[in-house]
Amino acid sequence: MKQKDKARSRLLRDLHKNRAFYIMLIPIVLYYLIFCYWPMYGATIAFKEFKPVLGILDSPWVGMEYFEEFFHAYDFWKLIRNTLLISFYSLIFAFPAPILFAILLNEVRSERFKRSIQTITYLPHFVSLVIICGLIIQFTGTNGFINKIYSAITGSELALINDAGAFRTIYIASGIWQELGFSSILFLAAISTIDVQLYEAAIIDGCSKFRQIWHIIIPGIMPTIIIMLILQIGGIMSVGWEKVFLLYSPLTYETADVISAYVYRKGIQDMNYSYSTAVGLFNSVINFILIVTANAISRRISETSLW
Amino acid sequence: MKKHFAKILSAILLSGMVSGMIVGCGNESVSDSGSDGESSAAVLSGSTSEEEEKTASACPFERDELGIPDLQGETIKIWMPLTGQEIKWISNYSEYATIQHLQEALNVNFEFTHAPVGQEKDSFSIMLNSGNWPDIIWTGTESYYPGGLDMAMADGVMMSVDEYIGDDFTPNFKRVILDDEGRRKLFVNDNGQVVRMGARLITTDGEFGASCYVGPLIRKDYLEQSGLDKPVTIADWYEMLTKFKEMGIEIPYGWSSKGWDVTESSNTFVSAYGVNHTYMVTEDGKVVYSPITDAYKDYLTEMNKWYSEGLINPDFANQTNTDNIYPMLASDKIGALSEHLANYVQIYYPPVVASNPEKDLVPVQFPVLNEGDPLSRFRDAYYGVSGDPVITTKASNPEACVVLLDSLYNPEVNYIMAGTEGVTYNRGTTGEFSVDPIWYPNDSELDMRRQHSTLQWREVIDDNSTVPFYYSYPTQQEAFSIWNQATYDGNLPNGLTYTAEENELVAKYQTDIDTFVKEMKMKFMVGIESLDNFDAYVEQVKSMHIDDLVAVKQAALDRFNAR
Repeated sequence: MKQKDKARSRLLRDLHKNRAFYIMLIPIVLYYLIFCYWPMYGATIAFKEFKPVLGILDSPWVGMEYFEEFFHAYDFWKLIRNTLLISFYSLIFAFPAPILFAILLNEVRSERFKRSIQTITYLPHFVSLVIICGLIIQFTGTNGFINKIYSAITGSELALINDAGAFRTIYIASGIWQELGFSSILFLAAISTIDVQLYEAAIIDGCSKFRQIWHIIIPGIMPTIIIMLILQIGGIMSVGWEKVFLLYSPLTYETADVISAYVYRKGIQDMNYSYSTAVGLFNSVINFILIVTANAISRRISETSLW
Repeated sequence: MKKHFAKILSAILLSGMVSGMIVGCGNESVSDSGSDGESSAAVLSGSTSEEEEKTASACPFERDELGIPDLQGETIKIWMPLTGQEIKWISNYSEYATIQHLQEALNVNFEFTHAPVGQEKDSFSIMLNSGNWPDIIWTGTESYYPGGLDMAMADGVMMSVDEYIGDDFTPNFKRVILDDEGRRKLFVNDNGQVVRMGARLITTDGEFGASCYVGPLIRKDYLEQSGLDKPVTIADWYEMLTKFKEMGIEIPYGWSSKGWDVTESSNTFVSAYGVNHTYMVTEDGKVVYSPITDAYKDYLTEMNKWYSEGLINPDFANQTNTDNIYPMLASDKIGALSEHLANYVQIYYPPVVASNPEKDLVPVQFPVLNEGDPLSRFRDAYYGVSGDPVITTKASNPEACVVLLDSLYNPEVNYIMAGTEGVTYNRGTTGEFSVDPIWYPNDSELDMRRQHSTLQWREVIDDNSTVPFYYSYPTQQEAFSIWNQATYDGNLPNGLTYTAEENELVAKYQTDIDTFVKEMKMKFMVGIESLDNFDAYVEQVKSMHIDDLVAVKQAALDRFNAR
């Protein structure tokens, strides 16, 4: 009893003392409650035959019907394969790129040169995706300059943007180009926290630049890299539909159609709400399992983890 | 689905096209006080039998001697999409003088909500799920709601107006539509319920009845330079496009299929093979799914040949007519295309043809396979019922909504919306609704468009007498005279309705088939997929339950014919 009172008064004192922080916290908590937790209740329509007029609560239950429908859908394996491959290639190519870039940038001595490079590489991040995709379509279309170069080398008559085999490359390469600079900020910040004395000691021991990077910088930013990697793995099944939607055409469905685009088509366009919610939920569950697994592995191996 | 889209689009485009104007927004106010005389509503309510009273109470709105109701300042919330053309002129429907006249005459306020252009379907879907419904959803329900109007009614989204039908609430609708057996059929569903009160009826009467608005057009100067006659057969087209290529025209045929594929929806080349791009009706009334027929394979083989020889726009999969084809047409990179006659005037004529008359387009007949073959049975035809105003079950004032929709069928209300007689219009001679607009070509373009662009509301009985006013350019007139020679009996008629089970089948299988067929036919055309695999493709489509869907369409067609 006494213990409880003590805890309560300590909590009250803390609330009073740090009230400014708690007040600042409120909008964030509300944001998550309203936009992330409250909608979860809507996910129940994956197990219901949802009718707008009945609402979420009163629509009749149908069990796993929509999940079974999805598993037997003609596009099922194609969607899974495309989603996984795009994520997987992103993980291999797009994930290390900003790390490498941050390390290289860190070694640049001329402050002015460094700043110019940074500004130039940040810029694409602030351009709207619609415009980026418009540019991509122009450049990789029949008369686009990228396509001209490509067809001069390979002799291919099919424009890159119409070639299902080139879709992933276009998707990921343009993603790297757009996000490289902006994503590197985090790693640059991590590098700047490394104690300068470590470098000095290494130089005295006769370490080359490369050795410094290998033995000081990489271990120094490893926790950041691992956390980012775990988050990335958690999103492996969720490829954003906007970019795919802007870039694909029936000619590239074979490699471009992903789960999220399918959810959009089925849900918003065909108004098959329950079905698309079931697909989305299935997607989220797999993501959840992946992130928990990745976190557990990381905790064992490197003692860095999200929780 | 595609059919509906094309239909809606052509309705939308029609409503957007204008070439005349009306001056002087007459603040002509119509006496809306019902106290002038004994209103018909009051009289009728006295004589209503007890049985009728059980279903609907007497109409609370009084009508004056012209039958114009006083809606007592009610506010009616309306959801409707605007067209891409319209948003250049207005940001809200209430800016139209037509609508302002109507508000004033009926003593009613409208609150319009418009969907962002290009996201109509998403916006419709989100509006419906938010639970925040308007009083009337003006257009969209039939094509966007899964299962269409019948399903919307069964699901309780759409209010049934049946209990209001009668001399009390809907005297005009009853007289103009329901009492005419031929018209009634178009406004009711298979069960005989009224589902389309407020929609426009476009008759097939007159010289321009059931006109074709989309078809093939060729650059005039190139056709002359090539020294060839207007192409008649597919072989002629091939010869002409090849010649164009030799003449240095980069893209002989400007196809585009992102967004609205006009070449497909006009069935320009495919109709030569006696099929279209979706479900078709054979001459003996059988429904067939065209894309898996042998004729369709022949069509794809030909298109593949054209594509591989560089006669067709290589980037058609990622381009649209408005964004890509027109600029290329204006900069001499394209020789021929298929287009809508309204777009020709709105997008191409003013900036290009007006100053360079040699770049004008000439309409040509839909090609046939062999000389002397019958013409296309699959041309576009604009007729039937357009629009589907739905009073939602959450409408706060259903009676006012019913009376509003009914009053559109009152010729006097139609004239009020048209402006001032003798200044902006004259009464036409072809029917009680017909209007002859008065054109003032020197007045500002904006006004004329504002005045004339509310075709969704005005001229609810359209006998096509205004077509020559709206489509006055020589190319447009010539196109009608050529394209209208083809027929449209091969297309499924508008207004088919499906049962709940049928809807379930369609919802389950149709999109997957559409996606697959679209993917495959493009691949066949481009040559990524060899046409030797056509049989395997047909097998695949069959395994995706196409036969069940054809049976559904057949049953719906049989019911429609028997209606």
